[in-house]
Amino acid sequence: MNNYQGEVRKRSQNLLIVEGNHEKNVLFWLIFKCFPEININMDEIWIYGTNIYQLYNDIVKQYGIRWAEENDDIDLPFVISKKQYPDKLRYKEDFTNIILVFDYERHDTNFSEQKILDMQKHFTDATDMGKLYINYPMIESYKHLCKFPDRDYGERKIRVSLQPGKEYKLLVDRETELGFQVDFPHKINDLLAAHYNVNNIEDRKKCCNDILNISDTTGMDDIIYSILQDVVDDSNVLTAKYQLTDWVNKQHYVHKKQTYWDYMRCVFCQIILHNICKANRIMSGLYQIPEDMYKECFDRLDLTEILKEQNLASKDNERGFIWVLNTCVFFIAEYNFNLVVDK
Amino acid sequence: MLKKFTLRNYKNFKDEIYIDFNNIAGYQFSTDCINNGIISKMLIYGRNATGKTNLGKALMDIYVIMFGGRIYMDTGVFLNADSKADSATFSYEFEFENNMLKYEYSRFFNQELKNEKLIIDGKTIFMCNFERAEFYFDNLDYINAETAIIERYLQSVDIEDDTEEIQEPKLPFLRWLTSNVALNSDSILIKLSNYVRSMTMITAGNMMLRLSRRINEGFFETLEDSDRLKDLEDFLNEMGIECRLVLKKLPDGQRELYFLHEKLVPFYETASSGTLVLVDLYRRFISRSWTPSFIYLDEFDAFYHYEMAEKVINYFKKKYSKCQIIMTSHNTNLMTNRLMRPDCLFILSRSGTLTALCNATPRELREGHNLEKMYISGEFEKYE
Repeated sequence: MNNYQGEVRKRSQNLLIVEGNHEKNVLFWLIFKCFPEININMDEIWIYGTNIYQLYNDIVKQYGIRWAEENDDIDLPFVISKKQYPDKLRYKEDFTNIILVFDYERHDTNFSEQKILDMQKHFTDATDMGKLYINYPMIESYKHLCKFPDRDYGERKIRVSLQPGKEYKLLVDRETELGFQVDFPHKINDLLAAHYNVNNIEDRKKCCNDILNISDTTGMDDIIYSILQDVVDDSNVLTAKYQLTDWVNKQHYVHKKQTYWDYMRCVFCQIILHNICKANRIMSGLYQIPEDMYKECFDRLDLTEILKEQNLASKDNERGFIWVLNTCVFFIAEYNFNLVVDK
Repeated sequence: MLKKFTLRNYKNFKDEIYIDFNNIAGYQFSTDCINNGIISKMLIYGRNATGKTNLGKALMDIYVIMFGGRIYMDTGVFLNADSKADSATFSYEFEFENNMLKYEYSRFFNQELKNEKLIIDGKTIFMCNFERAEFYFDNLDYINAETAIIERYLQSVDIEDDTEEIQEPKLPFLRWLTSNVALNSDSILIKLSNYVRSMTMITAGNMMLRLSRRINEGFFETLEDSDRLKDLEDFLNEMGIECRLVLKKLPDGQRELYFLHEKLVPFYETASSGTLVLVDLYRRFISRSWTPSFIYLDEFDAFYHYEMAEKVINYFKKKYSKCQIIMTSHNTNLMTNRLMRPDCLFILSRSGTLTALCNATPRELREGHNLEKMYISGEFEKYE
């Protein structure tokens, strides 16, 4: 044993700043599972729940009211750790990704066009200060596709008066093509927990993962049986096998010889491309983009311009509207556009 | 131009390591780091003791093979200390006006040649295996060298000689060929020879700058020309060292350089480390009218302020736009797309791999990315 070692510095950390549970437990969990190249393990990610105005105030507290005008180099891990764990400060120098995901929330009593614009203008790089993705009107917009391809997505908007958020969620649930697919892993997880008493979280995780990795219907029941036999009671294991085999059988992906993850990866690529087209629609009026122009269009997108457009469109409480647009899925395209276009 | 260099079993490099100057990505910025589709300005980072200096020495090995001499002769342990292989292998691939030339050789622990091989445009020109005394010279006519009197050469490397006399090191056939055959001036071997002759390496660490008075004597002589002294002064000022210089001839005939103040201050006794290194760079490159083909600047900015480091790079880019320059540094401030680009910035790892930043992360690197911050936060951790 020597005493040369000082404090060990842990690099390559990731920070996800979000508003609610859906962002972290459902959407980003699924994104990182479907795109393992991005190399972020959900279990090791630092998640901070807040809203955009609270975060704005936290920044003001450390850097002063003029941080935006003065173009301060904001260190979010520092700002947040200073507030949460003042004894264990963290710095952005140790973070490879800082992602901020917030809802537009026009109806929030704290809503301020200036503050939200300041945030959008300054948080533009996930590898540096952090990147802000605002979803319009809410995170759920990533599911707001009714079919593939969805030509009507270009003009899809909601009235400003549609509130609270619950209303929009209900609307998406009614119209979406994707709800069941996104929820599928969680349905399996809940089934194993509630009906088959698989109480160990790790066991359950592994079971779900193995079941979702199945990409062929031949011999599927045997495979599911072998996945379940060690974790489900003998008295229940057969019923569980039949039920899960039935569930998986009803999914399209397994008949196309894909795993759930492969399938959802393709779905995400579609979601991203639809939203690139939509962003282009908002910025320049054009929704249909030729396939070979996707990357060029994507590189031209300007989230600040989009925010300005949205602010303008939604100004009037009665007649105003919000373009449905999900920007946080752009994280994947930004990481590496080949992830989106490679078959 | 050197297109690719491959090395195995040399010093700390047990496994194969290569530098592929050809492997560029399509960035539209810092295009002055590329010349004719080949990397011409490269910057290598790496933790201490990963072999940045050794890599430079290895690259310069071809100079020793072709011209002998002691300048770049290696001292110390030559082969990798963990390997069972009996020799270190060097391979250089060049392109000269659309002709491809590949020269490969291996050397034993005592730096004796084990074998050598020259391939031009895919054709093996000659091959010598000194260990087994096997020689192949069938295609010398391809480079118009068929008049070479091979027997002479073979006599000189006769390995049957077991007298007690200290044996001369084996003369590489390539060196013998270039110096014993009348080659056309446009011969590819002449081009190779010119390229290698103009290769050079500078290591910051081992320079005895303050003691080099004798070397400086010639330099001082050139500075007697007041325009040239002014040029040195301008260079120093431009790079960030504000000073005025004056050269005096002492009664004993020696010349001495001074900083001009109310009283004269002797230059070499008082100049700062950074100034000395910078003046040495000036003396070796800028004051001489030669065109280097390849420069390995090892820890070139070890004593420089970050702004000076940047200025020196920009100066070299402009002055030696066609020269292939490899720099090594610990100054992460230079890791920026403003100056370099992700396919010209490399990390040498502890395990002996050399990876360009653009290949060290699955992330698509863009012009706006802050590469220095990414490096520090561990984006390229797996390749460090």
